[in-house]
Amino acid sequence: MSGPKVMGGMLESRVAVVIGATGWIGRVVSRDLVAAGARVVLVARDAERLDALAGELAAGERVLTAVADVTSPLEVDDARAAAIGRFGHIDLVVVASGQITGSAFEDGVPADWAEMIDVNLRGLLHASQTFADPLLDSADRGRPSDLFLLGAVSTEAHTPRFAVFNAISAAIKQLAQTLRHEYGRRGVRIHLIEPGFPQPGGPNGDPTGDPRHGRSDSPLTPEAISPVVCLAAALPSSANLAEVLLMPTGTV
Amino acid sequence: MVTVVPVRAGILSRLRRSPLELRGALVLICSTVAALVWANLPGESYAEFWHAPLGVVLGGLEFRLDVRHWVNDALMAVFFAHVTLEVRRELELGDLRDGRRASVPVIAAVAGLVFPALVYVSLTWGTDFVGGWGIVVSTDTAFVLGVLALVGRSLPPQLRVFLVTLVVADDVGALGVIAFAYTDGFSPLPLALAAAGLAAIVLMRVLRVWRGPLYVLPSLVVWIGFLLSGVHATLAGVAIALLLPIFPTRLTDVRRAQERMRVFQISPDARSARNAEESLAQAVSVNERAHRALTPYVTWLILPVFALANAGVRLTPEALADAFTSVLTWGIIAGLVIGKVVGIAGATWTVVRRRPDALGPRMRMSHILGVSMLAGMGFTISLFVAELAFDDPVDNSRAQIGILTATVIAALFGTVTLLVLGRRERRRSPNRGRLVRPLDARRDPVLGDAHRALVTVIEYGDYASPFALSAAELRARFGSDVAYSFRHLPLESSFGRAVAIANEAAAAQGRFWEMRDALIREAPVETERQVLRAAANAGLNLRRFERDWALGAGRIRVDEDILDAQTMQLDRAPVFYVDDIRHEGPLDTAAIAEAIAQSRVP
Repeated sequence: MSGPKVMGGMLESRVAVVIGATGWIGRVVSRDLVAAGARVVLVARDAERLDALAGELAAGERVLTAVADVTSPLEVDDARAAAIGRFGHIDLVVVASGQITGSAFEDGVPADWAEMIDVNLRGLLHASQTFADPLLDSADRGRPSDLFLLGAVSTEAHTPRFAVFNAISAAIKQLAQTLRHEYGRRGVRIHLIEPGFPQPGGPNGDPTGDPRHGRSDSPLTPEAISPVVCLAAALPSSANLAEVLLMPTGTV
Repeated sequence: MVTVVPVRAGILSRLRRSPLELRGALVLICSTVAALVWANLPGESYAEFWHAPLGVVLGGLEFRLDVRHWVNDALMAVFFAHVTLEVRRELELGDLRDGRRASVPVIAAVAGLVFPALVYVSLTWGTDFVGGWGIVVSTDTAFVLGVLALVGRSLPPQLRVFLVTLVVADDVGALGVIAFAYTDGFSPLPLALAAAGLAAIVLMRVLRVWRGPLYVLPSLVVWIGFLLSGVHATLAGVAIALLLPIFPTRLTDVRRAQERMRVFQISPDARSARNAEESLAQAVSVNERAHRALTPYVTWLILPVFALANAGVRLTPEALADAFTSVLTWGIIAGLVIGKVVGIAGATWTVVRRRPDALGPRMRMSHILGVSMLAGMGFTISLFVAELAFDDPVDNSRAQIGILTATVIAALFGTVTLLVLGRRERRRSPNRGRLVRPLDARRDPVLGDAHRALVTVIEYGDYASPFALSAAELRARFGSDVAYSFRHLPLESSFGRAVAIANEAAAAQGRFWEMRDALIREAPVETERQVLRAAANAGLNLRRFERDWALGAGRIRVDEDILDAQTMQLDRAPVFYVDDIRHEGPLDTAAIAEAIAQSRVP
């Protein structure tokens, strides 16, 4: 399934970093950013999948890959240094790394929680901090400068069995709102995109089902999320598409 | 009684904690006195015992020496091997490695060989005694180092290095004298046997045979070869020791030993035990292991037995009257007491006049004068050469009386001079051995509670070894009774100071100890990448860290630490100060427990 066509050239002269580039959402975002004319740094853990993605994109010199685990501050910092070394500056960062595990709260595995907190929250913090400097730098030079935080579901949808994941989502939302205060006046736009995933089987369905099983037939695909990123980045720098709540059509 | 017991216990425990050299010298003095007493007992038991033949008969072969020759030719071979091992170590790893620094004590040692001999020869010229010149050339290593350990504690440590270099060079010279001047009836054929034995040792080394006892058999062959050839048999010890290589312990070897130990822990069987044992042994050079293995035998057995066998002079009024009217006795006394001082101090003075920095910053001519007086203690090798030089028991007795007198005079003069110098030194800088900058919670990072702890421990260390204790291990080991702090002593590389400043940059984020742990895990820290990785692992803000590190805000503390370490003359890391007093040896739980116990005594 293909999403709406991204306008070629709308993000020309932009340098984007996609963290979690080989993930479900990340790879589509990467593809669309390349299509929109941006130079893109693909950051992910797995070198092989990263190379495969770069091959698919076939954008030659416009694409750089950097192997980094988002939970390792040093590797993320190396990715930053590599990106600046290649393209000179960074003005668009998409944090699309994250994982999701769920179960009834009393059956939850604490190690799973720790892993989710590590990747989804701590990793996002490291990435945001590491790339804050170049983003502020770009803003100082009068360029548009964007930080996209994905990986959170709507904090309005209290999907059962995902208590911890939802708690982390709330933390990310708080972070985005506070950062917007801190960095907004310095010219960096902080965007929070919250996809609302439907309860499996509809509002009256079995609340114990795994929503990941519904990924493939979910109406809310990465192809729906990715254009929002491109659109928000392409807006005049005086406007910030700050928070986006993306809901499957027909849900409330 | 009530007062006697603690006093005796105090002396005993003080003796037990005193340096090995000092205790060795005390034992040597005791056995000398015992020899003198024994030799002067009524009857001939002393002479009869040491001249009793002792040997092995193997079929038709008979091999027999008298007891004293067993001591002087066989036991002393071990002593000379021990000395040679030390020479080799100093040549390759120690201060003799640096030619410029080594040259002063070596020149002094050569002059200290030549001048006494000249003094002796000029006094005895025209008599039969001229041939005894070899008696006065050598200094007794054991006595001199023992006296220095006794009186030299407040003197600069470089003085000991100077003295070791001096006596080692002196021993080499003395060995040469014994080999070339006092070898009789030379027959070259048995030397082939010795060569075969030496070749066997080289071969075993190439095959990496690491079990010490296996080397005993070829060593015996070498010794017998030398003995039969007429070249003095003790030189066998020198030849063997020269073959034992020395190298600094390599980190890769230590790591391998650790891995093998790990294998042994996982499957503790005979094979893995042997592998672990082997890798442990191979991590340390044969030279050092042999030196360490021989030290107790040399100190507690060989030198005392030698003194017992050789120092027994009959001190009858007639013998003394005869000796002190003999030019032989006075030649020896003058040679050792005057010749050594003129030779060593004079040569050093001449060198220093041409190269004022030759002694280094801390030693002065007065120190050298004191040491040159001590060098007149010609005991062991002098007695040894006297035995070789004179066959006539009367001459021998004169020589022995001369040697004993000279040794006592030299010891007295040298000891008094060094004591006076040491007292002056203490008055000038009372801080030697003490911490110059006490623990200051505002500048020093502290593990534990500085106010509540009973004992403070301050480490001066670097990041050369990955086996240093981590903060958590220190806490677990020493508990809440100890407040522990770390100061920088980057010795090895120029990068060491940069690493220390990196540690301080981490302290700006409140993560000094986390950074220290992370740096220890990276040790030896040699690249910027390692420092950054450590910073990331310590959980630092890398951007701030890199900025602070580049700005070098922590260099003030680092440079203060380096300067303090220079003031306290620290030349190796780590050094520990327990309650502001320098702690010798490794800092283990027992040492800390003792310090805590002492701090509780009012």
